[in-house]
Amino acid sequence: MQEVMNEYIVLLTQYLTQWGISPGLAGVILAVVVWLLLYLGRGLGVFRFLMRWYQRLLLLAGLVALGFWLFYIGREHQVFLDNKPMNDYRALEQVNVSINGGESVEIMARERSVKKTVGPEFELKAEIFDEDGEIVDTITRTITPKCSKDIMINLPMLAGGAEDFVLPAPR
Amino acid sequence: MIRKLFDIIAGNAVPAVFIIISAFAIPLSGYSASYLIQELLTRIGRNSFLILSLLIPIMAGMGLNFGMVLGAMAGQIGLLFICDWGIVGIPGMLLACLIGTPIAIVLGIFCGAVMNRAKGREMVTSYILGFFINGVYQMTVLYLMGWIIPITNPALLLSRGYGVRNAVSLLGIRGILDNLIPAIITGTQGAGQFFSVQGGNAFVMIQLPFLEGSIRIPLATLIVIALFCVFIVWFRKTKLGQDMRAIGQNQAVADSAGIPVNRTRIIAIVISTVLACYGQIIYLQNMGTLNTYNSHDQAGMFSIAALLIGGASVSRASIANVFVGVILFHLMFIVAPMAGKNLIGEAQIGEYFRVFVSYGIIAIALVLHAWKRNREREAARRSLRGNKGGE
Repeated sequence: MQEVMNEYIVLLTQYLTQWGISPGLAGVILAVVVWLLLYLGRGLGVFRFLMRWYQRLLLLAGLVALGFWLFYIGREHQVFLDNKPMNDYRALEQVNVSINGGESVEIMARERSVKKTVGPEFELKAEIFDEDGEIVDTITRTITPKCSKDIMINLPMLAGGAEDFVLPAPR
Repeated sequence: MIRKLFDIIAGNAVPAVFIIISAFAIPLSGYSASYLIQELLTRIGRNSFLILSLLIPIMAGMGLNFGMVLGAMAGQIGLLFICDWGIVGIPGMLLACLIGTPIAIVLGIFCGAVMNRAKGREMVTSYILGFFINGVYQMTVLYLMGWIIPITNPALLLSRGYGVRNAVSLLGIRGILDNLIPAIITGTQGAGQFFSVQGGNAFVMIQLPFLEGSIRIPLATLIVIALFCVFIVWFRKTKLGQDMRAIGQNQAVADSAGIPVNRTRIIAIVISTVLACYGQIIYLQNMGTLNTYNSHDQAGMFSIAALLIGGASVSRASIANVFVGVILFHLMFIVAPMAGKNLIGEAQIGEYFRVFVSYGIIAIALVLHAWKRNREREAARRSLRGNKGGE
C-alpha cells in the first residue's frame, strides 16, 4: 500500500511538473478550489459546518508550515572544516576558508576547525596554498546542509574534485 | 470637597510615594542621566509586554492575573525546544512563540475554567494555580525532557541523560529583537544634526547636544510594545472587548443581557496567558539566559507590583499605569542599592529597603482597594436606603 502511494505521488509530481506547477502551488490551488466549493454551497447547513472546520484546518496547516519554514531558515549549523587525509586524497599544506564572506580561518595540514552558519545553505570559499605560501587554487561552492544540524567538509576531497566531500559531523 | 481631595490622594498614593522616594534616591545614587535613561529604556523594553498582558483580565473583572506565570512557562518550553534544535535569530524567537502558543492556550483554558469555579476569589486561585502548574512544569522539564520528550543537545541535558540543566544559554537569540533596528541617542555636539539615517542598515542616530555619552534604544522591542498598546485600544472597542467590560462592571447584568460570561472570562484569561508567553520570550531574549526552574517564578509578582505602583488597582488599569509603573518600579531597582551604599555605606541596605517598599506597596495597594470597595458598597447601600448624609 505504501509503495503504491509513493508511486502515485511520484507520478502526480511528474505530471504537475510537466505543466509547470510545483507540488506547493498545487496544494495552494487545491485549497482554494475546496474553499470555493464550500463557499458556493454555504446555503446548506452542513457546508457551513464544513467550511468552519476547513478554515480551522487551513489555519492550523498554515501555522505548521510556518513552523517548518522558521525551522528551515533559522537553523544554526556547525561546519567542521577537516584538513586530514581521506581515502586517496592527501592533506593540503594550508587552506584559508571563509563562509558567507566572513572572516577566513587558516587550517594547516591535519588540522580541523569549526565555523557556525545559519540557514539552509551557505557559500564556502577555500583558498589553497602551496609550500611557498602562494595561492594555487580558489574554490567557491554553495553547500546545502538543509535540516541536518552539523556537517563536516573534508577539504582535501573538496580540492580534489570529489563529489562526496560533505561528511557527517564527528560525535 | 475634602472627601474629593482625599479620593484623589488615595487614588494616586502609591505612585506619589514612589515619585517622592525616587526624587530622594536619584541624587543620592550619583548616577548620570544617560545611565538612568539607558537602564530604564532597557527595562521598559524587557518588562512592558509582560505587564501589558495583565490588562485584559482586569478589564473582564478578574483582577490581577497571577496565572500569567502559566504563559511564562509555555514561553520557556518554546525556548527550550529552539535551543535544542539550534534555531537562532528572529526565526528562533518566532518559532518559540509558535511552540509556546498552543501550550499557553491549553493552560489558559484550564486556568479560566478553574477561575470560573472560584468567582470573586480569582487572584488567590490563580496564585495557587501557578504553584500547581509549576509542579507540572518542573516534572516535565526535570524528568520527561530527554526521556519521553526528545531533547538531544548535551549542552541542555543534565549529565544523567534526562532533565534540563538549571541555566540555559540563549546566546542564539540574545538581544535579537532589541538590536534588530540599531538606534542610538548620542550626545555628540557640533554636528547640528538631530536625526540621521546612516548607511543601508537603517541605523537610526538621534543627536542631543545636552546629553553625555550615548544611549542605545531597543527600537524594535518598543515598536512591538507600541503595536500591542494599539491592539489593546482596538480590542476594547470590539464586541468581545465591550462584553468583557460589561462583565467587569457587573456579571449578573451582563449575564441577563445575554453575554456568555464564563466563556468570555475564559477568553480573557487565554489572551492574557498567550500574551504572557510572548512577553516572557521577549524578556528572556533581553536577559540572554534562561533560568529553567526559576525564571517564570517572579514574572507574575514583578509585573503585578509594577502595575500597582503605576497607580492601577485590582479593578481598573490602563496603558499609562503600565508605563508609569515600569518606570517607577525599575527606577527603584536601579538607584536603591547605590543610594543605600552612598547613604549608609552598604549597598545591601538599599536593596532591602527597595524590596521592603516595593512589596509593602503591593500590600498597601490591595488594602486600599479593599477599603475603597467596601466604602463604595456602603455608599451604595446608603443611597438605596435614601440616606445620603451618613448614619
